Amino acid sequence: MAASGGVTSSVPRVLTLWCPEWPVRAVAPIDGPLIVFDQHRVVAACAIAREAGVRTGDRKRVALRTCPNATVVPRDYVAEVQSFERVVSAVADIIPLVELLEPGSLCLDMRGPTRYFGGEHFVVDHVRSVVATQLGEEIPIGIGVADGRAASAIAARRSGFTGHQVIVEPGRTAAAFTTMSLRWFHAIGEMSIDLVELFERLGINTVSDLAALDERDVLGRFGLPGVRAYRVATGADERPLSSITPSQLPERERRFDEPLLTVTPVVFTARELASELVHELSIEGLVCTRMTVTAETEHSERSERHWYRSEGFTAAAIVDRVRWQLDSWVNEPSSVSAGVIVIRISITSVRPDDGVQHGFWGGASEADGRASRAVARLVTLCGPEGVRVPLPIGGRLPEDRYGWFPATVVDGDHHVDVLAPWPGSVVRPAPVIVPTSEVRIEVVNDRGESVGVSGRGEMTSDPVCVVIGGRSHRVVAWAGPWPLIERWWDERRRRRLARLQVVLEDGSAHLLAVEHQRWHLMGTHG
Amino acid sequence: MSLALESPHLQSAASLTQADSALPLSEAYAEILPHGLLRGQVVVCHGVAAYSIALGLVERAVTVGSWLAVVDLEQVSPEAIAEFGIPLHRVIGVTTGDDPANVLSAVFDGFDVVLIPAHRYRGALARRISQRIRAKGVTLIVIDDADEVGVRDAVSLGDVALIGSDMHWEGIGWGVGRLLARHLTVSATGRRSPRPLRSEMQLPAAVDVRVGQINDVASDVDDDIAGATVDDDEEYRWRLRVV
Repeated sequence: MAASGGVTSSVPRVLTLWCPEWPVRAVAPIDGPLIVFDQHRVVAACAIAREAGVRTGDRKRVALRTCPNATVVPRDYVAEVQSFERVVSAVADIIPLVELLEPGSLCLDMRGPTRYFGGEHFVVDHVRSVVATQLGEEIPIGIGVADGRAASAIAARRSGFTGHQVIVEPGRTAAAFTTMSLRWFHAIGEMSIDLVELFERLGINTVSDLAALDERDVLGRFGLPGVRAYRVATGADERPLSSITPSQLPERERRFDEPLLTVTPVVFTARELASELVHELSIEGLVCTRMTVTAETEHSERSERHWYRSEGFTAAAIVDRVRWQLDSWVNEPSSVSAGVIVIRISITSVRPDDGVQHGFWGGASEADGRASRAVARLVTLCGPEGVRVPLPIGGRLPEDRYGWFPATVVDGDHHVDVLAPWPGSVVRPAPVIVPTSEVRIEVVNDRGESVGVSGRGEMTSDPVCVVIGGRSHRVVAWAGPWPLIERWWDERRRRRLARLQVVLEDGSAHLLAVEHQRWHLMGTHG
Repeated sequence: MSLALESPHLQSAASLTQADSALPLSEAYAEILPHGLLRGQVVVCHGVAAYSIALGLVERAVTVGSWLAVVDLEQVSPEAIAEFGIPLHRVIGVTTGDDPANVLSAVFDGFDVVLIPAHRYRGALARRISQRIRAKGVTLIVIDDADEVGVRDAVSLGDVALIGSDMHWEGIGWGVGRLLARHLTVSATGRRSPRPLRSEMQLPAAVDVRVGQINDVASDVDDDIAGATVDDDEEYRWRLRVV
């Protein structure tokens, strides 16, 4: 009681447990570095990769450049939730009402446990020992206690890195985090990266810099998201208390006449319930931040988990959590012996919806969103090689200058740079059609002999006819030849060729090349 | 009030719904397609310049925010697409593989403008496709560069047929110069216009180096102020300062 005694504050004391790099823990251990990605961004990396310089939030290409021999794994939420389940149940055995934040992170209200165990330190020790028994002593875990969820999440992050528990005394949040970077606010989901970067550009780098400002000024300049960040920084409650009593909060339940033996139809039902709930709350201008998902089987086996999300649950986010929870429940050995008969989603906490202000201009339009969804669907239909984006590479020949790359390896928000000038390339206009495989052609003079280019870069005679695909076309105009010697120092990639532009009698223009005394079609102005 | 509405930068609310059913076109194409590039329409491009005609046709629409899918046309060079002034970050290439019908309907869900080769628009698949694009409001552009296709066939294939003629290359002679610019006459034949409309144009459109750089920035501006077109050089500079 020593820690919280005597201080009356509306902000609840919260303990957060955070397991660093949980997405990596959920993957079966392998030799060598391991990086976990989600949407082309690094979400977690093992110690070896971290040593090499891989950072969370790096783009995939950047990360692989830093650590080229790393094994790359896509994020698997279900596996993460499933492997975290034993930690959750171990903690829930000693302290009920555990709230899951995300796989690898949970929090709990300290009021009851502090009384029961006789002090915050004892609670932390108990939690640490039960988690260590589950995971093993060598896995680092972070435990932080502070006022409110956000502060305790930051405390847990800091504890995860230092290896010591972090307990912030009540009312001393700002003092405890003075030197911490605002990037932590992004890491715990309290601030968008754009806002963090805006603050940084304005010279507001640490928590104390932000806390030193005036709340009204922050509201005037940065709006509601800025004020939220400010409240976290000053240790005030990040959300004002709502006057709605829990009994008024909506709850949805669906009973199945026929027990369901697979997860998919249950999730499908949950989708319906979730959109009903979200719609009902949105009419009141509210968004759900905490909910309880309960599923029961015919044999009265029960899975109940509390989920928290500071930015609020959308219908999709609710469905995701239901699926994670059910998947990890049914995959656990000897936990389920019959079909599911009840699924229930209860909202336990709400806050006013700040809404999302769309950009006045710039930002993603409706067409952009539609296209990126279609790309995701096309990748599942045609495979990663079937959906490509055009990107500049750089070179002197049409086939080298630009290429089509699988959309999955390119960041969704890529912007195409302009190609640097390449001396020696044939300038605008570029051929529209560049054959994907070599097309052999013949170029002949008025006597029907094959035309060549001498070592001095001159035509041996005027080209009069071009034979493409067995058909002969008369040349009406031609220009060149333009010799090109590339990478003469490289045995395998060296090229020595001469290029020629011809206009044929049907009006079509072509770029031809002679290499090793043989002509091929390099491009067509189609 | 009426004076204000005559300004090219202001639109009345009524014109917005019109703009919704048609995609914008560059001036040269607007002459031969007076109704604009209509959604749900099939445009077939013929002849040796079919690819260039198609790229010039979609340029404006993609510049102001529509997405372009290039289906089963791996041979089209991204460099040429960029030279036509099309922003490459709104272009996706798709290879349909064994199941063209399903892949194409997924493409129609996400893209406003779709380019496909003629061999993908034949028979039963073509009928299915034309139903889908009408439902989704997609503009389909079929590239048919096979030789000797009569305009009569072309009309039966799509709603509008575009074909190039009187092609003339500037800058190249007999052993001298280089290809600089292609001038051609594009004629449009359609169900709505029995007599073909013609327009002389240059493909890709001429770009002065100085104006070219300004254009690049201006096209970004156009992303924001969708649809507004500014021809005046002075106007460009004014907008650049604003950006």
